[in-house]
Amino acid sequence: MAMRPRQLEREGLTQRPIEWGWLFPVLVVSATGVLVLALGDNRARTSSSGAQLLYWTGLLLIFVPPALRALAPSAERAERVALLSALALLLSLVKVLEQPTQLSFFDEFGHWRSLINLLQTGHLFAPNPLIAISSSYPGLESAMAALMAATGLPVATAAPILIGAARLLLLLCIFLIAERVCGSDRAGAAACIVYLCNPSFLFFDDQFAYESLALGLAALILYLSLNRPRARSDRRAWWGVLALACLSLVVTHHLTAYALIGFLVLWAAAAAVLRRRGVDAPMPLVPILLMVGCELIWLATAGRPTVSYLAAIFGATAQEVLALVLHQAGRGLFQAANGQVEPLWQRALGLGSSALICLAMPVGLVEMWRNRHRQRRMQARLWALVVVSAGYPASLLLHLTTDGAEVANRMGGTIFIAVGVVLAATLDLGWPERVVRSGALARASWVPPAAMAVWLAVVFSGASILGWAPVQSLPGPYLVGADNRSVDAVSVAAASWTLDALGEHNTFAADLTNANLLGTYGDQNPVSGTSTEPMDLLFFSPTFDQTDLRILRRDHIRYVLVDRRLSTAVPLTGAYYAAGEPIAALDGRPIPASWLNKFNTVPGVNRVYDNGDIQIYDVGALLDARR
Amino acid sequence: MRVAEWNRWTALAAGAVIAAGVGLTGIGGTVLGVLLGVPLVLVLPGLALTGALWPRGRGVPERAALAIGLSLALAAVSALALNWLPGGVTPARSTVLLGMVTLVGACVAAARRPLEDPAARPRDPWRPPIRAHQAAMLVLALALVGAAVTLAVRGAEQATGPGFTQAWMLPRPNAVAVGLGNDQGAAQAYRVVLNDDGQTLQTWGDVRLAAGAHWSATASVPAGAGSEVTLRVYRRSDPERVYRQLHVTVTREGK
Repeated sequence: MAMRPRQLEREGLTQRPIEWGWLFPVLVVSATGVLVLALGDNRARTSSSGAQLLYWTGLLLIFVPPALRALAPSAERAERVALLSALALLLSLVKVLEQPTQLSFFDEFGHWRSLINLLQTGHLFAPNPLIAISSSYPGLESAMAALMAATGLPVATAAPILIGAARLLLLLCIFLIAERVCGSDRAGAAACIVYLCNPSFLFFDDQFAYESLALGLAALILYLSLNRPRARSDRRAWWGVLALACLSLVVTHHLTAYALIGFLVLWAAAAAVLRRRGVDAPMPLVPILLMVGCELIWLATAGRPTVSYLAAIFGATAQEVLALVLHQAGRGLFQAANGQVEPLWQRALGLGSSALICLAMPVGLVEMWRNRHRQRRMQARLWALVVVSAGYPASLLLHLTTDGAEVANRMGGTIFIAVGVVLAATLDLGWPERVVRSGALARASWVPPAAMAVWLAVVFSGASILGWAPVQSLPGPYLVGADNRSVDAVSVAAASWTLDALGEHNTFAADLTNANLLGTYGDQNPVSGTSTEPMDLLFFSPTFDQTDLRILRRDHIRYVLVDRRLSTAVPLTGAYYAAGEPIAALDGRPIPASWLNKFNTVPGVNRVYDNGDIQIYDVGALLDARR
Repeated sequence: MRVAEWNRWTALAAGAVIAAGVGLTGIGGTVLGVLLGVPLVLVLPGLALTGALWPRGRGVPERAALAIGLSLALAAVSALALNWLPGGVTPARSTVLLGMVTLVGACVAAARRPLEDPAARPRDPWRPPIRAHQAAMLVLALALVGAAVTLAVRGAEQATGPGFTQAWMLPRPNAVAVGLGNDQGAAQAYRVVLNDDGQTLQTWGDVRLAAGAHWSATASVPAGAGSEVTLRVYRRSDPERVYRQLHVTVTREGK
């Protein structure tokens, strides 16, 4: 039987040539933005003027022209998809250009260590001294090991390729999901554009970490769930593929898997309500069964430590929220832990971005309510997405607490899929196809795109400020306790020396940044101590005392690494050695240099390494309890 | 249509075999490894599986999403499958596994290729989907991105900070192993002095190191010396100031 033309087009078999529209000129502009941004990064490396201007100009050049064109009523589906794919890949370069030669984000080191363990032992689940939970979720490391084996690339080069592919998958799936749910490819593009304005997209979800891969896999499962085949012969294949996708997500990241299960249950509940009202709303029972089944098996076996790990994170957040409600504590918005406040224009953009999204959401909801009968079979998915999108304003409140801000950033990656679908309807109103077609705006045809360009520029740049502190978005000289800005050649050299001179897997006490470098470049085992007597107490006393000795012996610490630069500033992220350290006792002053130098005069302690900023002490002689 | 489909899946199967071969042997270096290895892990297994499971065509975005998505899913669980084999996960096994999945998937897809549909005319394979001026703009865009990455890599490599010198000393039985590493970004000259309770055990008067170079030596500590040995490093440009200082306790065998 011959296929109809519409079906042919959907299945890619049509003879009609593809109209690429403005794709290629827009790509050139966007690529120019990448070059401008790279120039800005290089100026920032040498602390030259103009770095910020070049960075923000480049960022907006990368994003706004393709986003605007992808939303244009005149663009064809193929052009929109190509533009969105290009955007996914070009925006991935923003983090790469910041530090192109090495991994530098905090979480990346934990996953790199799991990868090192996998490559060295040939087995999964080896203990990870940097991020213990990482060894229970080896999906990312498994994919990375395969990519490195096939290409021969080192981890720092292979990681952006793997994560870039995951982000491309994520954007394609969001496009297909929103297109299916809302019934138009323009809505699909709009949902993707809004998703790119999620604060986590530019940096947090671009790092070599399990969530970055898991988001793409979760979107794939959602896409498959929405596209259950009608033919029975195809359904078996669908089951198999869905099972593979569910298993891969469950072994990759806990929170993303739970968020997906939560959404599927919400969708099922919405479908149940609609069915009572006589609407034919399909229920996602097979995906729920597969996800829950895989998750339970994983939690009962390799994922056992997950519950205590997440309980600690959410417990801390709950305590902070409670303290905030009771007016006992809180976190200043746009203020780093060391008291550094972001410039006014950045604060205004951050607030403006959130305000514009919050204001646009009710408009989108009204529009969706008006059009609710167009896609009757999709209604349950649509309302489930609407409920999830309500989590966005709630997540903004979490930014008022330190741990809450961390949780809010992690939520962004999932919530914004729903926010994107809701806002797709608003964007359609902002640049309406029907008005443009009717010629009503013929004399002022530039108004809708210009207004849309401003909206996109504010929302996108504001979101990037909210998601990653601007001081950490650009490269530059070493900063104390500033995540990626604290990784420099001095620390890498010290960590690499430990592997060459001391061998692997020695127990170390060190600050957060150097612990990460020791655990990867050095293949050493940094310790964090216990909850009652954490390792950081070793550095928070003016003289070497019995508590210090007890910590060394209890944790079998053989080497102590001291970074004297810590005494020059309060850490940007709020901690030198570990969250919860007694830094408040310093009254906003940096840790005294004399406290860090105390190991120089302890009898029996060898100072075995010195590069000016970093010293390494061998405290092995103190471990013998008979001394 | 059937012939074109057959050729496409045969080419994919052959590509997987070649890519796996290159990955296993390292022939062709990094460039060929990347050109073939990236598709082998991130595209081909999913593409072959999609073709095998759903022989009827799909739109390009749908096919792309399934190809990348299923490839990533397979790569994410591949180590799980290999973990319980004797010898566990090795780079070669990961490559062979993904190559095998692609090969089998492509063979099944070729066998299940759809019958010709008279309404479905494939595009002329010799006519490129983009015109010459569009191709030129695409090349320009790629060149701009390439320039940006090159610029960033060079910038990051050159921005090494103010420069530093590493010094180390490790105790050995009746001796110490000492070393220097010059990361100042330019050639440097040092004087290295090994002391024991104020008495000089050994002096290296002129240690010249090029940028990035390392130097190491072993010095024996005589039986009559004290247990703590001190190493002092001076820079030739500032000969009076101690630039680096280390101290270790040396254990004596037979004492």
